[in-house]
Amino acid sequence: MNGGLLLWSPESVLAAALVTITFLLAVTAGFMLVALGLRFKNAHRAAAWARREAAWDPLIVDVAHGLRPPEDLLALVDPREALPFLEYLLRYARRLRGPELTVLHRLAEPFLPRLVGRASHRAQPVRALAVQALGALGLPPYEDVVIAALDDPAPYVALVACKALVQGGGDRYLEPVLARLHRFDHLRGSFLAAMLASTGPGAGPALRRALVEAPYPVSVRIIAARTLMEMHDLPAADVAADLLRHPQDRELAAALLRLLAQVGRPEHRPAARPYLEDEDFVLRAMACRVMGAVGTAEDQEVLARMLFGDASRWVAINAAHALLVMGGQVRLRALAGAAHERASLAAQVLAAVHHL
Amino acid sequence: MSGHLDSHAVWLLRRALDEARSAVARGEAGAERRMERLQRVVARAGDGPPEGDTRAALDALARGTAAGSVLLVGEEVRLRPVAAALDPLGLTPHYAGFPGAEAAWRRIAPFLTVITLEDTGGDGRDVLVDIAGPPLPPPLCLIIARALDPATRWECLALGATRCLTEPLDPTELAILTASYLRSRASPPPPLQRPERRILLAEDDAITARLVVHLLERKGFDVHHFSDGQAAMDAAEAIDADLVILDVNMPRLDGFTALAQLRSLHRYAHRPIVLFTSYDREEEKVRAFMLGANDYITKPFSGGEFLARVMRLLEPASAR
Amino acid sequence: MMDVLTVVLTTVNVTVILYFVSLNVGYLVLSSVAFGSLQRYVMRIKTFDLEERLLSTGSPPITILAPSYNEAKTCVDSIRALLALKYPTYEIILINDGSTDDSLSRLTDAFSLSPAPRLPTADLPTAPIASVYRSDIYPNLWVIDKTNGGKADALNAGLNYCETPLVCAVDADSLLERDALARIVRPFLEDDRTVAAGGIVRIANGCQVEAGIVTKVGLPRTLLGRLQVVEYLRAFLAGRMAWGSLNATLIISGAFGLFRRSAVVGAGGYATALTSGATVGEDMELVVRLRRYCSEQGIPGRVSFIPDPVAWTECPETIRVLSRQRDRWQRGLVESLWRHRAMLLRPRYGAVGLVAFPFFFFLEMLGPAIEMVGYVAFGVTVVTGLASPLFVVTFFGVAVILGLTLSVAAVALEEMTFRRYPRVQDLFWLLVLAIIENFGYRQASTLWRFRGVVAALRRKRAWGVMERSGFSRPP
Repeated sequence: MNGGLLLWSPESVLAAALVTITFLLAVTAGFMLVALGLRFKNAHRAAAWARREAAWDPLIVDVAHGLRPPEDLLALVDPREALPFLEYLLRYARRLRGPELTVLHRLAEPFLPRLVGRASHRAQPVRALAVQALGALGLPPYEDVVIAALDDPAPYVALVACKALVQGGGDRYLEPVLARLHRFDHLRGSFLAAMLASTGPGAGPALRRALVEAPYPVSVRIIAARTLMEMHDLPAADVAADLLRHPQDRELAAALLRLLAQVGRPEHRPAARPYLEDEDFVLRAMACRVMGAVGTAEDQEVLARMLFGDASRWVAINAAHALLVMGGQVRLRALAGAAHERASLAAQVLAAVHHL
Repeated sequence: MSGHLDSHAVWLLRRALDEARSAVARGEAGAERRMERLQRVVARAGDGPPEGDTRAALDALARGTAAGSVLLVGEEVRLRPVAAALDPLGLTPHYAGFPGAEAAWRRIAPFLTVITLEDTGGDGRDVLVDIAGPPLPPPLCLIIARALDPATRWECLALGATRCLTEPLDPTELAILTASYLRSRASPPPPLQRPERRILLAEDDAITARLVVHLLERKGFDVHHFSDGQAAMDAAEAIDADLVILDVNMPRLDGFTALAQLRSLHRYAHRPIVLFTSYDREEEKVRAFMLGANDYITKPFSGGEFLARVMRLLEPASAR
Repeated sequence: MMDVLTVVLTTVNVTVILYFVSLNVGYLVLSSVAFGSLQRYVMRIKTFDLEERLLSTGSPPITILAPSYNEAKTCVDSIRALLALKYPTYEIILINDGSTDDSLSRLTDAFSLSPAPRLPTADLPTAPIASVYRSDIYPNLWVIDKTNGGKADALNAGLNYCETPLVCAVDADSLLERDALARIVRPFLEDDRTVAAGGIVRIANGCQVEAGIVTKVGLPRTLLGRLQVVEYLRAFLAGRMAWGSLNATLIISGAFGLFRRSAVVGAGGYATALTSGATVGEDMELVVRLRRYCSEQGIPGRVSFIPDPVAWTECPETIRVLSRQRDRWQRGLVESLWRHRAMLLRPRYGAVGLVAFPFFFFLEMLGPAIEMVGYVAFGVTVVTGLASPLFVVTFFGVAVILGLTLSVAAVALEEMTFRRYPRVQDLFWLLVLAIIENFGYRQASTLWRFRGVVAALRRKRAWGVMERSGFSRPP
């Protein structure tokens, strides 16, 4: 008794409904089983890890510190536990260097070949983990695999390879990394710079070369400049000053000025001075910073004028900081007391001194 | 005579041997025995430094780490007044009979040993030979006797005793004597009650903490580990650590703040403090030094370097 | 006459059926997308070295904005908890939104506040600022005292004083996990185009909390609380994770979200009476507007949702408060979507305009209304004898069972990835709750949301009164 209300007969609707309900209930039951199954699987896995840690923990520190031979620990590792063991070693490898790290390398040696195949796995996370482990525990023997991963189609895997090479191998692998750095344009600059800086001071020459040479795209040169700044690389100041004498890409110029502010010397002042009047507010601000580091008394005048007169607040803040840094507290205090809307800015910068 | 003996010990031995030879010539009772003991010491002087436990015990002794105990060898009843006399100085008494004296001495590595010269169990001088004779650096050793004739006195001294005292003892004199030994030792504080050097470690990463604790405990340090800065600060006064290691990036109270707070405490105003971190930024290092840190170790770290830096800061404390 | 009724009823019923089908199929699709996405994510975070992230000089400074109104009892503890976060450089700005209790004096005592100069970096219009304080003990703690203006206004005031590239908005009662900041910043490190990121909000009722840190996780004591646990799992793990992987996120919880300051300020800050018009759900409105702003400006703004950073929050455990909360959320949803209805089905707005917006607009926003109408229509259909009750019953049966499947799927997702509820009995409870949820709770929720839709439609007249009471936010 449904008239033309429904398009189907009640029986077929009911049948369809029952089928659907049964199907859904089956799916639901399936999900419940999955949930419970996962819980048990994870409990089992946790128990396995607990066992492993109970067996390996007492030995790992002794072996790492050279008190016991690696064979003692290796004897407790089942060949099927190769991957968990490598994961276990990674925890320590991240925190150690020097002779202890070498011991960890020796412990990992028999199991690393297992990872070579995984580094070409079709799943991205598997590749990433394999590359990370090889990079932390397998350099230099497996450097080819890790360097090859720099060209991995997945940017994330390439990044993991970069980090591993930079941290594990030092400046030895800097060239191939720099050559592919343009892949990571979308990454935060300071993050990349920090990563490269962790290679150590030996990276200086390669980075300075990257700064100067054209084949590297601008984005890479900017990263090189930032890295040199992080490293406080003194020779880079000369390179930066030379480059600044000619017109440069805006962002590169800003990075070079920042670098000069960090490691510049008085002889580099003329290279930066013209940028105080640049039409770009970022460059003006960075030039202020350089003056703070290497400026003279006459620059204090200019900075004071910029503090009050520059159109950009950002530039004014940098000018105030620069005054502070170059010993112009007296002037800054006078400015803080002046009747000007920017006086409070001077006051703020002064106040910041008290909190180290 | 070999180069293992210093001139004073040599002089003592020579004197004792002279006296012993005259005693043998006189046909005195026990003179042969005396001669034999002295000859053993001389023979040993040529053997070279001993290995194993004795060395460790003596090293420990030499470092002054066993400052807390006194070993009393002989009849307990007789030695109790001695223990009572030394009690105000905070030395823990351990008693041993003659047969077990050497083993006890190695085990305890006491700051001071008191031996009764003659007793039913044996002869105090034998014990003396076992533990105090050259070429090993002489530990503090007192001989207590009811009566001492000059020859025996010389003998005891030659065998390595620091002093010979006759009963009845003057407890005050004994205490003063011991106190002067304690003062004259080249080791500065930690105080008597504590044999080990204490380190306060504030590090929240469990694995790093394990590595560091193991490294330091192996070297004989007593490590107190906290996972957050605030808990470490709260306990710092009570622990009275000889060295503090602070991780910079900790919850509740970061390393720099903890450093500043520690330096404001009287107790820690001059104690060595090390910051343990992977900040590579120069301004952070500068900040650490400006706030009063003695040194700065970056992560990842190598055990050898870590230890070298820590030991260097504790150097003045270890007797060289 | 009967024919007209028949036609009307047929149309209505078909619409309702279509709605149910699309809603549930939609959720099923979302759940499957979430499944794949979560699996990849879990593997991915294995390579993420938290320690390293914390200590890297590459981690950008963050400002946490904590708006506070009459939270005298808890503000000091909340701040202490925020000070305990593990992150290299961050600042906390607490905005005291004209509290009438003694919050400010308590804060001054606890943290040794003293007036300090600070220059604003932006000039979003807000209620007047009385003064700015800084803590003498914790140099990274600032307090802004201002006249009352509502939560959105307080956040705008905080934004005005923010000096870091990233800004994190939290609720007064959010409990952030110690590594939450370090985790939520990851999308910004890996992709410079990211403008916003959201994390999971979990229910703190039933958990042991010590000094602002959740030490033991447990289920709430009341049934209502427990039902909400399952609901949140569904919303976050299945829902937001899926939207996040499609880069179509429309909601980031006001309890915990990280934004790029320049983007938020550029888009005009939070919506208040002084900016783009007050709204009840200012956190959602901001995200929608942010996406609109980025699309219109040609900025490739990514909005991420990642499940590992966690903020815990209290949920209501009485029907009265819960119903009001859901009413309010729905109102917020309606307002946000209606205000930006220009984005609906426009390719210019990418996946957001073409997929997420329509989904939320038709299924989430109008959904409760359609359901209500559906119940009525079906009732009429049965009463007038135009269809057998059996049909209606079976139809509702399918709908309920479908909902049940989704809830259980969410529990399975949780089990697959995070397993925050360690006791096996909690897992059993969650599964049972997933079933119970669909027999009463969902329907009640629909009713409350329906009231919200109605209220939203009516509110156009009653606007201008700013919400002065508490700040409890939708997830």
